[in-house]
Amino acid sequence: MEELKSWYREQLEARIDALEAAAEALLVEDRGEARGTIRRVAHSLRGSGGTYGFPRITEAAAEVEEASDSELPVKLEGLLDVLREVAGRSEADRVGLLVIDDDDEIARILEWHLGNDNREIHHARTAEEAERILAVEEVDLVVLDLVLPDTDGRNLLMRLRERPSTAALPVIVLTVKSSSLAKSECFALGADEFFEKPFDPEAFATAVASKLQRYRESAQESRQDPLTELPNRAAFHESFRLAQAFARRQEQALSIGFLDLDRFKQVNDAHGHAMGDEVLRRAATTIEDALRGSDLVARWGGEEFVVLFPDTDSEGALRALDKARRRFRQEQFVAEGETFQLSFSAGVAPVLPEDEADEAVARADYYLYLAKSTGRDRVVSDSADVPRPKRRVLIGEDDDLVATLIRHRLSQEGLEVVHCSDGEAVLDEVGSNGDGSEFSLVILDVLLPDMDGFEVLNRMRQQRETSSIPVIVLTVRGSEEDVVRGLSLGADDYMVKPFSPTELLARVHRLLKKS
Amino acid sequence: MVDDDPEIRHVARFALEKAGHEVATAASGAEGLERARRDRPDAVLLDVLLPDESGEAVLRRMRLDDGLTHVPVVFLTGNAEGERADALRQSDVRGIVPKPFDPLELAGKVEELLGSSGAGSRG
Repeated sequence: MEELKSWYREQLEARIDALEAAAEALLVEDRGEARGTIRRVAHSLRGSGGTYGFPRITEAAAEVEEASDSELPVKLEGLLDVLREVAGRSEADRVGLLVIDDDDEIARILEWHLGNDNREIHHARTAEEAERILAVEEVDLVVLDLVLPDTDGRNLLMRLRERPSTAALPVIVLTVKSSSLAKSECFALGADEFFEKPFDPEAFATAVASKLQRYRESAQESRQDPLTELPNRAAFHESFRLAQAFARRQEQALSIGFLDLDRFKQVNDAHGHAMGDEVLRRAATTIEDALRGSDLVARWGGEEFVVLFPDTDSEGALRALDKARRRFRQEQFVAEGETFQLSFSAGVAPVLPEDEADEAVARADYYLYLAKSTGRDRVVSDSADVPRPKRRVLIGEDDDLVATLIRHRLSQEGLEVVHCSDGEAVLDEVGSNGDGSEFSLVILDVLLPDMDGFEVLNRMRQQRETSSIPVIVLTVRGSEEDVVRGLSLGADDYMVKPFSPTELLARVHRLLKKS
Repeated sequence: MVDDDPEIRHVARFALEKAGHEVATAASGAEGLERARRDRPDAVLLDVLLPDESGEAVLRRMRLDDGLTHVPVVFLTGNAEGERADALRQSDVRGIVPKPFDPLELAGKVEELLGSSGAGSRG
């Protein structure tokens, strides 16, 4: 069964390629054809996944096959994630080893003993070649011979330790030099292990495995993306929670942007991964430079970045990200004497107080999808292109806690909220503007000190200026009479305390739509 | 064994050969018919959703072919429920194997569906 599974994993590569190509085509070319391809591949995976012992593939494929056209892109991403994970393509699982030894025989022996499905083994015969590979490939461990054609291995070891990107990289020295001095010198220079040739391949393989594991664990704890030096996804999750809590306390807006470089795969294909890395690094710098210091930019993975905009509504975030977009497209990249320019697409959305980080990202990702599907190189947000004037809501409520809750929830929806604690104040406030039309909605507790809510409502309805402002009355459970009285006095809706914020929002939106 | 999905052909061949059966595969209805005429199999496993024609159509054509009138057929399908599946069950087949299936149980299931007339021996 294990052979079958690994055979199946290999077959998945072609399926992933087909789905990735179709996902690209879904954005631009013949969508009908792309959808057909996706559903066909999904149907096939639905049958084969579970058969090969991967029920998650069957589940995710079924969702794709049954998805409506609009759900398709999201479901497809879900399926691709599962497939990449099963195929061992997810970046987290891939391990790169670099063997630096001018002896091809040693390299072959190591490849035999250290190689497996998830390990890619690179071989360099000189220090110079090793440096080239380290610049381009993801390397998680180095096997180093001390005797190299172009330099002493210890020089290379020293250079590796001086550079931040390779300072923590595990290095195992494998050499014929057997003076104890060389050994202690290597340890002093930062080698993690020291083996002498001839060596026991099994003991060596065990040492490699344990060093790799330790390195990967520490990398997971690390919060920085080594390539772009931006915070990584784990760090973003943490910052998200803090920013969200802060925004909640301060009653500030918080927005999120999710962006993806356009046609990045073509850069990799045409100019190689080194150029791809260069593009990612410059994208990171450009975006960070264009935004405020308080905005948080993180690398989400691949060519995707995520940005948090504290104290900024989505219109502000859209403007900021659009500035970054314009700057990034001015950037000139040069590969093999050819100059090219790139762009990114982005989606912007508000972060809600109860959002998990992934929910907020998913919301922004939806607008990113709209940006991609309407031609790329643009930023799309939930707010309309033309900023709407803020609508004002008046709350007449003597319970400060309830008032604060309502105010908080409504201000998140972009509404301006005014609070009065007694009936007289409510009447003053609605009538203060002469025509009273500046309030789009009044939320009125029936139990207010001095003048109760019914009287306030009664007077409001008798004044021409305030007679048509929608009113929601708040009552407590068990007072149906109050509801009837409120409605007969001209209330448009009512709510019974305690009520859920979602219910409140639904009613507010309904009335605002009418007005 | 007729299925357009190479992964399904691979795993079915593996499972059935392990149980001692000889397996020939085809990726389309037309290819399946051609092989069946040539190899005269003891039983046919037939996917319902083939690229060129439906499994039902392949079955009808088999039944019109002198040498294949009585060959037992088992359908493979990803949708083992619903009207079409009911119709499949009522057609001239020994049974339905739903996809996904457990490769370790495939041979036993097929043998069971074929019953005593199912040729081929356990190895």
